[in-house]
Amino acid sequence: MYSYIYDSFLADKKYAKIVSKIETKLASLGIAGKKHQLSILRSADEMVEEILKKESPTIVVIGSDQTFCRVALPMADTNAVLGFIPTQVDSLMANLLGLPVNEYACDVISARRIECVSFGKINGQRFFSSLEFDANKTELTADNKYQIIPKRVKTVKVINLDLLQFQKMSQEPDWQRLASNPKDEYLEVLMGTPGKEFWFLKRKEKRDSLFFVKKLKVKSKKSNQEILIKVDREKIVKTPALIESTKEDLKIIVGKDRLI
Amino acid sequence: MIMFVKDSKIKPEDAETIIGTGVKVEGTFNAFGDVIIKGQLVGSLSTENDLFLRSSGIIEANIRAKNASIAGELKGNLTVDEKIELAATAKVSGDIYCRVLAIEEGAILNGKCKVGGQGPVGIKEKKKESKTEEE
Repeated sequence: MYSYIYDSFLADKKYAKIVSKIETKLASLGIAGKKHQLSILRSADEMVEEILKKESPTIVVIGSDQTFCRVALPMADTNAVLGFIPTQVDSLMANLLGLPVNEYACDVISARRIECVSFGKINGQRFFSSLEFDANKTELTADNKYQIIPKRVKTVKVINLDLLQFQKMSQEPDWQRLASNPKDEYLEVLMGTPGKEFWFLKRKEKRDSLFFVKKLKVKSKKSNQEILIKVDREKIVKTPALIESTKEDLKIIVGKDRLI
Repeated sequence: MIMFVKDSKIKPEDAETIIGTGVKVEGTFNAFGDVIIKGQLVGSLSTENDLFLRSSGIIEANIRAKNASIAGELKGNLTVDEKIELAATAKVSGDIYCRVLAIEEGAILNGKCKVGGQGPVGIKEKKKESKTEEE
């Protein structure tokens, strides 16, 4: 049984054509299902909880990466399967999961190629994609065994399911691995300096170090100072923080050209 | 022991962990894949796979690895199951144990060196044998 969660922005008239094309394609493939529209009054959490009361459903998110991540969190360790129909051309998750955008993703949903991915946790709260924070003034202890002391790096990115770089797929791949491995029990810790573009000035991003950890303690060097950690590109958590990999997993539908 | 073998079996593309020039690591570092070190490491290091110490890298630690390619500075003992390659820029102060050793001209090695068919595994076995003899 398929349930479709529509992103709130899709309620706008300018997306009507895209939505209609997706719905027609889903119907022609015989996988049409119940429509759930996200809005200010209805959060993703509530909606997922309601859908999960039914037996092992397939929940498909139509919309943005952020909504896809938000829907994934309450689905951890359930029998449900998560699918995604991206509607934004620059969707990072589409790249990672090998999904075409808009109605072309319907064929991938119909093919139901399934992979299990895990989650990460920060201070006991799940995250799905990645965390990012300032490397300066930060103390990092990995797996209670060793300390990572940042010296000439600006940013730390802790990755569960994301690209092994700071920006989107703009750079030529100089590393063999392009994406993290969300199927193992490790989180990738990428350290470096993100690129910058300001008028005619361009600074290429520099990826310096890569670690694989199960547990990472992050705290500020100064006790009276807090460092802000950006979770899944939207939420903010303050230090001190304990970041862990988890054994909770989720079945997601992926395409043939996936990076994970 | 003398020739530096160019067609090495060690492939840096398979590397997993990278300690870059902008980072220093202190403590007990255990890795499961290959390790590339361009920055600093103090403590101890062990990996089930290969170690690559680049010319900019500095290690003050005892090391255990499957293969090691050293081009930087190492202060500590290096125990390797298979092969050690010392590049011209390598500076090693410590004992090394391995099955095969390749040293390029210009490399500096200060310490004991045990190279042979049995490698470090053989050394452990010998220790065990001597213990049983004593009993």
